[in-house]
Amino acid sequence: MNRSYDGVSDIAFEKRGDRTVLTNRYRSGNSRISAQIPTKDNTPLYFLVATGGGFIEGERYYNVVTLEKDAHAILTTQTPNYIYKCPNGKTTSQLNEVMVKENAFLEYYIDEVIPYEDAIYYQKTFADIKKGGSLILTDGLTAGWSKSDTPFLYNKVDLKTKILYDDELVFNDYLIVDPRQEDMSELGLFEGYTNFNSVVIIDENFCTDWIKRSKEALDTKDFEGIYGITALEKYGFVLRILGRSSHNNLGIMWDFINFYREDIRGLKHLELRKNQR
Amino acid sequence: MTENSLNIDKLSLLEVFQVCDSTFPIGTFNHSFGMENYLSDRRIKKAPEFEIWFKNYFEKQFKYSEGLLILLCMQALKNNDFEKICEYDKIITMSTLATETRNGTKLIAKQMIRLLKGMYGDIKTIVRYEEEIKKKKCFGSPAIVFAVFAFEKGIDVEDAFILYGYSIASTMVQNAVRAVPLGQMEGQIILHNISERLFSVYEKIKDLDEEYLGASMIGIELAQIRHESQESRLFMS
Repeated sequence: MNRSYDGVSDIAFEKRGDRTVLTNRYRSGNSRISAQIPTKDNTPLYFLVATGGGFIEGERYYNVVTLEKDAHAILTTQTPNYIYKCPNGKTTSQLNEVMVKENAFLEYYIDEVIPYEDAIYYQKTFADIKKGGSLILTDGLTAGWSKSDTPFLYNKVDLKTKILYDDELVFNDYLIVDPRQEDMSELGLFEGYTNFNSVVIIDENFCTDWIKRSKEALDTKDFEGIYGITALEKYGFVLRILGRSSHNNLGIMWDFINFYREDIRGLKHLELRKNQR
Repeated sequence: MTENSLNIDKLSLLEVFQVCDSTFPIGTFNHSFGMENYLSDRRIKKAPEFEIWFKNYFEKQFKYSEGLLILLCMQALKNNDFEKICEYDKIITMSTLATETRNGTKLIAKQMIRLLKGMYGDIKTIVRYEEEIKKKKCFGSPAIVFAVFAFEKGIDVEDAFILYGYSIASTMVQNAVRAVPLGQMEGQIILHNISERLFSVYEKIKDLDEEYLGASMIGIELAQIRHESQESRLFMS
């Protein structure tokens, strides 16, 4: 496994008494795992770090997270995921595999991808949630980075997320962005916006009332863009945002996340202090 | 080919065409598939903006959802693999994020099954699909019902794709003529442009596997989600 990947992280948690403890912490190559960061409700929080501050052309990353039953942990990437310039047309990829066992709760905050000019990036996240387990999962994509500040100069990005709950498919999300072939500013695509963010929450207790309540919890005073919240076929709901800056999108994204954490789960307010641009 | 079988082929073609007619009463006239959200915030005002959204609907959503679904289902039917069809039904349902769009297509599928059963009696695979829907093992997708019907009638995969694509396009143009509004002539020109495009969309997906099934695009999807909380509306989705 290690030989074929440029970075691997494999992290596991278990509930012992009333605490969740780290039971496995394996890393190799360019992937690092931070020391535990304190949180207000003593939920273990770790940062997943790429040592180069991003991924380089052709690199492959593999992250595994396992929560044993009843555990609760928070994982997040440290910065937006930069996919550095790819002049040779090689695909950079990341595979995330998540296992949430019975009644465990994983918060997995993957930052948005910022592909540089010509980048080709493929990301696949697969989550297997057992009965009673729950998950908050984020991801996103921007118009990328280029010297000339021209949006969407990257080559291609595939973001795929598949979630099973109690062995049944509940979420199959696949965004294929192909700026070489299409005008990203058109209606139906990014529509003139530059930042896409997504939050999906899986919880078997979900009821449509949460949609109404979560919308009320969003502070949209300064938000510039469009967003929507909708119910999955089963066991959860999703927030999608198109806006003009990461900072702007993150505001309502975190209102949504904290609505679920505080109002539904009775947890304390969470703020991940990162240097967001 | 004998004269008799030729006649049967032509009748089959006409029978499939009837299902594709925008007047086939399966309720598609009730659905804008998110388009109405662009009307409400004035991002679609006239034919040019509508045509851009329409093109992207086919290139970025229809292509990987109902379009690819037709192709995969025809293949599964050829292999006599009904389990695969149920799997595709699940994938397509769980890939359709907007509740309203998801429920809309379920209703259309139900109507389509009802009509086809009324017209043709029991078509084995359609009856089986209906049973799976009733047992809540499947959810119901009009593209699957159509693929089964087209397969029964001996239509080949590309023709089934083109015909179904045309059927969706012509209904959506009718809806746009009413709602945007577009002129009848503008509508027909846009429909013809999409008809031409369907062939290249087919070329792009003909070798794709189920890994791509249900891929979509954020703008289209977000409009479908936002339609759910839109205040004034003509369409159910």
